[in-house]
Amino acid sequence: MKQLKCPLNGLRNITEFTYGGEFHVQPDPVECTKEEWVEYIFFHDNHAGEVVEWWCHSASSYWFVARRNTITDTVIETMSVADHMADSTAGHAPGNNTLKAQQVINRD
Amino acid sequence: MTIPSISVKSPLHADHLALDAEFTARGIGSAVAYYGEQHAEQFNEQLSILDLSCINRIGFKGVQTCTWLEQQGVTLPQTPNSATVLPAGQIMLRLSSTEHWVLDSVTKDSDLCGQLRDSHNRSDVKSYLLERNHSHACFYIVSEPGSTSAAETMSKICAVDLRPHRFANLAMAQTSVARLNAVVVRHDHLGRLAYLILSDMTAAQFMWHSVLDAMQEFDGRPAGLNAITLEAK
Repeated sequence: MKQLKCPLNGLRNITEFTYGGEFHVQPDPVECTKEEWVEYIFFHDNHAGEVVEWWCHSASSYWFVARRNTITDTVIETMSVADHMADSTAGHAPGNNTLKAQQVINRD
Repeated sequence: MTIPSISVKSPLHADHLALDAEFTARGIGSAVAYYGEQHAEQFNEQLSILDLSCINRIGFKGVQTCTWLEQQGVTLPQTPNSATVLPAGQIMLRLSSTEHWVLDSVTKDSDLCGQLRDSHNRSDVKSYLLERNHSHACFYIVSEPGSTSAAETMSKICAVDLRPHRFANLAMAQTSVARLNAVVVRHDHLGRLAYLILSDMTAAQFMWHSVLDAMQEFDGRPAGLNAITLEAK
């Protein structure tokens, strides 16, 4: 069975996890245009290669971020949202730019 | 058979009645004191399972939860997925950096959950109250002294390595047990290897019978609360 390392709970069978979709920057719902909001809600990159994704450990309802290669289906690393935000602020991780850190960290 | 006047019954009440259980008032409702002819009021020789769904339990989640609980004089576990036992026997579970559950004592009179609930309702702390009495059933699997049969039973229904040399006392795992989401806490009882299982209340019967099925090869059977309370004296 495949296994995935949850940043909170450690290595667990993949059956304990739920895929949460691509990790995208949420635009400000008040200030963004309709087109930006539609893009955020309905469209996906469906990129072949390294992507950043939301995953949830169902048993603890813990949401975290994984970097995965969609061609080889290899999980490169998993991290808490706080760690991911710290990385992205330092320019190490793809898929982020202006995300409001506190908005996401509150999902922990 | 005497059934005390109580407000809350375990979701397994009918199953207990079928085993000729005698009940006693405890926590938020009734618990099995002992079963049928098991008047010896002790644990089974090999392995026992107890329905502790009568224990008062509550949870808190939010950014100010830790600070607020410490202000209430509660000692918290330092890391997520661990537990502590308070001097009066209550068990504190830390599920994440911002979520804690409290289980009142089985053996001692305690209403820490009620006190915390009242205090929380009066405060404006940024913390959600989680009513775990209604959401989670609670079971306790207890080995005989020196035996690891509880761990071997759990290995049949849970993928996490819960053997005593890998899973310390008061360690906690949020995982899948018998394909149900569950919180498993190792909470040894007077030298006996033991695990608490908290899982969805609506599937309590399924969990109970799944564990009983897994316990069969160790001659595991249900035991009443008297086994704990009398042995603790």
